[in-house]
Amino acid sequence: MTTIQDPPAAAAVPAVATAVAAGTATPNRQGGDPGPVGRRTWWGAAFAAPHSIGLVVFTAFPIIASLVVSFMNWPTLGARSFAGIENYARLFADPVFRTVTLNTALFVVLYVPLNLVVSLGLAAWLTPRIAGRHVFRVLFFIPTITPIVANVVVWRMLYQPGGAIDATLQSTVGVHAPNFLADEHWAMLAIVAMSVWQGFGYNMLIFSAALDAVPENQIEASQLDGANAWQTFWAIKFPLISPSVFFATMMTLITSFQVFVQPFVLTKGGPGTATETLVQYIYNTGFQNQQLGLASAGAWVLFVIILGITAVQFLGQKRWVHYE
Amino acid sequence: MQRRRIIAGLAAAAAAALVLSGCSSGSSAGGSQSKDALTWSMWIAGKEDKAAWQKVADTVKSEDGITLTIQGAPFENYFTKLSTQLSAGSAQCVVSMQSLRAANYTESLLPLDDLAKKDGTDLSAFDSTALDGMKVDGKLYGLPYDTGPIMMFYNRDLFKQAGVAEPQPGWTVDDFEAAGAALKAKGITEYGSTVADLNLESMIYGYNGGRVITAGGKLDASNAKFADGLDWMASLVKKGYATQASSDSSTPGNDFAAGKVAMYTDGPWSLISQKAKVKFDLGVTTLPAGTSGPSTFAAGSGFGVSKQCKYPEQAFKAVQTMTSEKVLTSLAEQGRAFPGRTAAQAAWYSSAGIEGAEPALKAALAKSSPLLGNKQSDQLSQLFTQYALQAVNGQTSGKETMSSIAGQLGTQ
Repeated sequence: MTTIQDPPAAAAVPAVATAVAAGTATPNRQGGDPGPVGRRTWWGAAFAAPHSIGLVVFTAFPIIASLVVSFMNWPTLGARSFAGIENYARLFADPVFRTVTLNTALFVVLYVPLNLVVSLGLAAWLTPRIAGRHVFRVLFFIPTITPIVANVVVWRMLYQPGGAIDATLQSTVGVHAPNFLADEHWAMLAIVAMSVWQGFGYNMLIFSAALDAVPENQIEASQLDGANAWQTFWAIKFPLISPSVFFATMMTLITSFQVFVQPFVLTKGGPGTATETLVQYIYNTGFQNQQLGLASAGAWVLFVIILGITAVQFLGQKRWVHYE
Repeated sequence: MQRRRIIAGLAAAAAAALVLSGCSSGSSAGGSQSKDALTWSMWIAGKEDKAAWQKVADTVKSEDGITLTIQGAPFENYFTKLSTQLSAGSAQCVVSMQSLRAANYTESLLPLDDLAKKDGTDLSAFDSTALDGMKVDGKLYGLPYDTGPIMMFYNRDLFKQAGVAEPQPGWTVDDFEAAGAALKAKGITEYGSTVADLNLESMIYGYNGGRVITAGGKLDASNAKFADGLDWMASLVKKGYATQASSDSSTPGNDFAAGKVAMYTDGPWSLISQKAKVKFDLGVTTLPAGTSGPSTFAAGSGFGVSKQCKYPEQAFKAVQTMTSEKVLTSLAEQGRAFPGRTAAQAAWYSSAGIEGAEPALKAALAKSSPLLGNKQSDQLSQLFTQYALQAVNGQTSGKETMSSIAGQLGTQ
């Protein structure tokens, strides 16, 4: 505070003191009202009530119920019994469960880096200097908002023998494309390619907004120091957008572990079990084999895996994420 | 102030009441049944479908005085929904059931033999294949409304174009392969391969009698003849007579309608709709007969009564009306389903308007066996899509494929 402001401050103090005295003078008149602070918390609880009740009824309660079911032998139709850890033991002894876990891990390892690289690259390219960048942003975002099942059906038509890819290769190079979805070596790659096309728009939008928020003076300073575009990006822009990158990485990791629609609609998990993922295994166990206990156990194993990965991410963030 | 607290408290209570009432309203749907008002679950594919079934419900109202409320679901989700409702105790009284899946629901459906005897229902008026399809372990779980053997639909125009003689009912595997070679010489692929369970099993059953579900309804996944059948289908793909199989079960039908293949397997339930869709002359014949003579599988659907129904006699009366000659004849005339009653089948032939359909269908029916369901049928169907695909496309042998399938069926 400067000396110029002293006289008004001195005048303000008695005013505040009067107000406090007035505030504390009123409570007794209202019979038990705890005062200004207490009155606000009632409104808070009232507004939060619908959401909290919904959260408890539709999220917390089913999660706990699923944990209980995972310890039971629970066929859809028929008698239920307590099974202890038998469901989990069966899962870990089942070779198919191991295969689907590895398939899911393979999908994650292929999809997440590719998604981040594509979305970060495109976001870095869409600087304000590009004409029509808003149009590009919308175009890149459209695959994310179109229904995923519709996208998958169209891509299946592209991939199948006689489809667009096969026909183009035939007419240009003269060879037949492999039957992507029926070939165990190509199937997972085909699914990853389709998933990247579907999912990169969301991350790209996040990165684009974060890059726009990088202060211009930092970039000007680095250019004055003689940094080229590549150095500017990695030394200045990337550390400043690292919170968004962390968020996008975490969300993409979590959702990619839960991948189901693309492999299920494109290949139904085939050929063999080449593209069967953990969530499809849970779906088959629950709805085809009608064993809800085993399916719940599988879901909880997936939860623990995702939790572990997220915990590792949070521990690692201190090293590379810069919060200003 | 005191008033604001009361308002806030009331707002919270109202919100809670809204949320809780929202989740409790679902369970009251199944409980509003009475002696004259029953619910009926059915798979519905759209507005026209619903209108056609509503007409059946209206017939029940006028004949028996029972109001049937249809609760429909798309076919893909129908059985998942039914299982969920049965386990929650809120299932409908009249339940539509497929012959393939009846074995999974024996615990929830009422055996109708006693009710039929009491009411004096003439079960012999039903087509025997259709009726057997609705039986599990000798007990009848539904009255059949439609039935159908798997047949071969073919493109008359493509055959004429290639100068190949049209297949006649009862043609053999040799005829089939000879036609394949002749069509291939003219650049036409003969057959759209499939790994959908009913179609795949029928093709192989016709080829050498191999079957994964025995006549007694038991699973026999390591059946050697079936594995040989898979190898035969792979040989068709290798020789270029058949397309590669796809995990999408609608691919052969779409390829056929687009003129990419000359023939594919399907049942009479698709005949009328395919005829309306295709731009060429459609013909139908039996599956190629192999070493065990002409044979195919038949599947059907019918209506049963759930054990949870409080009014089983009324529900059975409704079911009898729904499968009466009058209703089935009118359904046949609409081209909806090949009727499960022998007397109504003539109406279907005349309304189908496909030359050669009657002798082909009669020949196929005479040599068809109902494809029995099994508790693991759904899983088997999924495993066929995953593993039989590899066998038909030549990536694994039939024997390896069937042992993978047997292994998975055994563990689960």
